[in-house]
Amino acid sequence: MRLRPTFPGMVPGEKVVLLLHRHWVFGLRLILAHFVFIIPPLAAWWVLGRYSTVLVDGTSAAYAFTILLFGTYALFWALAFFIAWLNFYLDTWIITNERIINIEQLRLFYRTVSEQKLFRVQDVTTDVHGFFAGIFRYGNVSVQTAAEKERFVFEQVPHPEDVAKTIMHLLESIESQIGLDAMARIEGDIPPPGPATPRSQSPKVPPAPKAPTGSAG
Amino acid sequence: MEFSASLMLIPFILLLLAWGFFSIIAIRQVLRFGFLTPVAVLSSCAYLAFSLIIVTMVITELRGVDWSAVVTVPLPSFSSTPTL
Repeated sequence: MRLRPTFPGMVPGEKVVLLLHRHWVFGLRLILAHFVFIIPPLAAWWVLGRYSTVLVDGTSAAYAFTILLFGTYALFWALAFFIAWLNFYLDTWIITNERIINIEQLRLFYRTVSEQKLFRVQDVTTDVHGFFAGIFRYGNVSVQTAAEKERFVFEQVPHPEDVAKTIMHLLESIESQIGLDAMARIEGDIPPPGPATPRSQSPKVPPAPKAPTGSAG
Repeated sequence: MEFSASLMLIPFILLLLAWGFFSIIAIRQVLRFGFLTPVAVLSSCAYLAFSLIIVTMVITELRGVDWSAVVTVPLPSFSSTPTL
């Protein structure tokens, strides 16, 4: 059974189109970086076994101290690894048929979530640079929106070109189904058209103009 | 300085409690925000399994230890008369 991803704040009818994490190369790098920390206790165990009598007598206090020390190290090493992996894995970018959601897990207790409506997207740029990025096909996808917030950047995601294409296709489908002006009107960015305000179908959402109220001054 | 060997267990238990607290938080974060994907669930299970193995190994190894033994830690002594 395939699990359908859901997230808090998901509205009825909203479908997750893409759920992106960083490329697995960065996960592998994380694993390798943490496996380096296995070497010191293994070396220490080897030295103790070869050059001391601490590990010979299993009933001695020195043996107990050594086991407690190594056990604690192993548990905290696993915890540090798991938290690092959590920080890697929970950095998520979600593209639904309505929104783009950027979730950053910076630390165990530090998490930021930001989102933008898809119809606000103005342009999508992909950025693949570097030897490994070219080989493993990962890169950044920058999404420029009409909002005041700076660009959304999907960092080191796999197949950035496909992600950009998906966003543009979703944007086109929204535009063809509803029309950007209608979407902006729903969101309250553009007031309903009055009799004296002829509107044109423009591909971009214009900055919200003031509707003529008829009572000047 | 002399103390009972069982006193060594106190810092270990305190550290184990801290480790347990952070482990619960971390697993909760993964399961809550990881969209319950197979990767999130499997990684949590792997972490729990690894931790369980370590704790079991430690308990097994410590089973034969004589906890009533007195541990003597030699402290450095200082004297005003130089020793030759």
